[in-house]
Amino acid sequence: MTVKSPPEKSVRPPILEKLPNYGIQSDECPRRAKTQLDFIMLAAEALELNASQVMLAAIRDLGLQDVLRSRVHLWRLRSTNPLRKFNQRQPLTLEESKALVLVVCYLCRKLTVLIRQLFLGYQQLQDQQLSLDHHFRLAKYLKRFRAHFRARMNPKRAMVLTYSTDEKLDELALSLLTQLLLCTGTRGEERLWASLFDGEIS
Amino acid sequence: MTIQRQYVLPNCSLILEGLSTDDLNVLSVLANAEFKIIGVEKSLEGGSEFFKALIAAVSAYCQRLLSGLEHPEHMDSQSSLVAVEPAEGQYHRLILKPEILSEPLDQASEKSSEAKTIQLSTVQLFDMAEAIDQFYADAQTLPDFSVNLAPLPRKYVRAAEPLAQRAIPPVLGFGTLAVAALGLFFLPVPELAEPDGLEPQDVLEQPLTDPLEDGPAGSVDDQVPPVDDTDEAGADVVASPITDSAQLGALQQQVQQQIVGALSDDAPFEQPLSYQVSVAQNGDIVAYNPLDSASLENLDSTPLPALTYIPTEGAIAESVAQFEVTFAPDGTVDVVSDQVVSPETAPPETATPEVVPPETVSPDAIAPETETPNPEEDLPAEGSNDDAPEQSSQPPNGEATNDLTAAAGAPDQLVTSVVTPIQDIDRIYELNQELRRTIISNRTPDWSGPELRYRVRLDDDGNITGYAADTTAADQYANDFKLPSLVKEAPTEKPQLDFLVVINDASVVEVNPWDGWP
Repeated sequence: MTVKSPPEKSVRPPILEKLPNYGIQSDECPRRAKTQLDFIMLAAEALELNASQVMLAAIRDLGLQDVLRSRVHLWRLRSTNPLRKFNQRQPLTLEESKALVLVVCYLCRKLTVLIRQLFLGYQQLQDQQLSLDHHFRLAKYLKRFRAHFRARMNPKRAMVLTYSTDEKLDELALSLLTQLLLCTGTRGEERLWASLFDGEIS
Repeated sequence: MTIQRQYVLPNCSLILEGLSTDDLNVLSVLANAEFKIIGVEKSLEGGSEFFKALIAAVSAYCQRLLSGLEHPEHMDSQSSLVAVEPAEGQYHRLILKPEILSEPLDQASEKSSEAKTIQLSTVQLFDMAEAIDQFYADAQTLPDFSVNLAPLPRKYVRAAEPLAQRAIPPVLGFGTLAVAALGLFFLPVPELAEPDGLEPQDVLEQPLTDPLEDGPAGSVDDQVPPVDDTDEAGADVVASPITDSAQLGALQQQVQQQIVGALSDDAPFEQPLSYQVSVAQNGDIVAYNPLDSASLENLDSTPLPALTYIPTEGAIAESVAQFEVTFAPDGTVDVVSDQVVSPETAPPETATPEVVPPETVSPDAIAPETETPNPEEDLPAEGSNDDAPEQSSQPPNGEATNDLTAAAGAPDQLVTSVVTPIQDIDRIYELNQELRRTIISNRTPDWSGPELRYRVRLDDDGNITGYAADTTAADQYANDFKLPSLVKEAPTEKPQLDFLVVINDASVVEVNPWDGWP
């Protein structure tokens, strides 16, 4: 067999350079970062049923195939969330988490209009002192998020136990919606990336 | 020249006015910054200080929304000019100190005496932050301004619980450990309690009645069932290896009956077969061992495999007697007592009560046995092998021993067994040495004579409480060693132990515990 081209070197996608390392020594993401990334993706999936397809498309568009190799790989990385039922006890490297941040923000920008609509609806409901059920789309999002959360998170974990009621889960879903909104911004990636390491650097 | 830059978003627009100092049209000196927020009546206006404080606070607050951790930049404090706080639901409070809004710049804003609070919805706040980010991304505007997006250092993260509360579990743990250690320190180290059956005094306590009754017991087997024999042994002696010949005889009979009863009529073997058979106290055959190859081959034609009783877990500790069983070709069976085996590892008291159901014992059968012990029978059966035959074959010798101990002033103490033997091996060693020194120091100088053997009893304090001459000659020479004068009265309930003192013809003194070293 003749080899026509030199062996491919694994080139780090230059897009990852956008996110600095903040002088973090270890290559592994902190526990809270794994959880937060997975939660944000969970919220995005609750917003957009097709989110996993969009994420795969985002991986192609952003040229991150080397880091996020396949759908299964993406699932395994998400399963590093320690609160998951089927938790993969493996590290999430900085590179992989950077790629996930980029994919999440890409997905969020696609959902900008919907997220803003939900917030306007939320604002109206709050101004009129109505419960969250009165906005069809928002209620759907919350319901789907609750279903996703309960299906995938390990109910024996203490932190998951704190979200045992619908109200608590709605609170979490709305705070995640805020995070999704912030991710749609110009510096969304940087903001999300920096927030993952809040309280983790010396 | 004055430059104006606008960043317009659905809910908020940011207008920056300033001067350019170079030809590249870069806005480098900020004169005025104005936030126009839809839904808020008055636009927020201020100078460079206002703008800096505002973008730092809003940006930090956005990070707080993302991570949930408070950043110092957006917190309301004495020094902060702008603060952002979460409010009800999706609202947020923007708090502006009046001095930065009322700075007398070229476009002076209105005066207000107290901090201005503006309620912003999430979308409005986000649009503010987005305007700031767009400004930051614009290299043509105020390149000196920077909006830092660094993760929050660890030192700002307040622990979820105060240190005092977090310290409680380890302190409690160590405290409990310390208290437990202190409490256990005062407890004595538990003594190793050895099972009584392993102690040598059991041999001393075993009555010598059985050898005396050997003849009658062997002959009256029909009257006394073997079960009673075992019962008697179990009732009298705590640990009973099958040693007495009465029991052996009974077992022998029983085994023979068993085998003959089970033997088939035709004997398919030509030569005699011999087996070593182990028999339990109740007559069960527990094991057998062919003694030659022919026996092994013809094993199945003997009734042994069918008769063998597999002992259960609890019964393993039983004592067994060994017999040699010989099957002759003419159909006769010969059972010969082989030797006495007693399992030494097993604590016998666990075995005897289970094997021997006490209710089968009739009081009449036991009464003569329990009431008859006399001093002569209490003499040691197993203490030394050459001892028993000597006493049984030479009655005058035994009488002489009794007389001499009577002369020594403590006739009862030696003939009865030691009630509570000394068990501490270190103490036994010390007593041994002490006794040897005592005898050496008290012997007549230049003594010579035949080898002498004495049995000397010591109490725990090292006092000689009694002695007995073990040989006839020893008795005559006892005064040469001042033994009678050394004997002191002592209560028998005190721990005591017998020692064997041997003085050989070269006047060398050897002392050992009577029952051997534990």
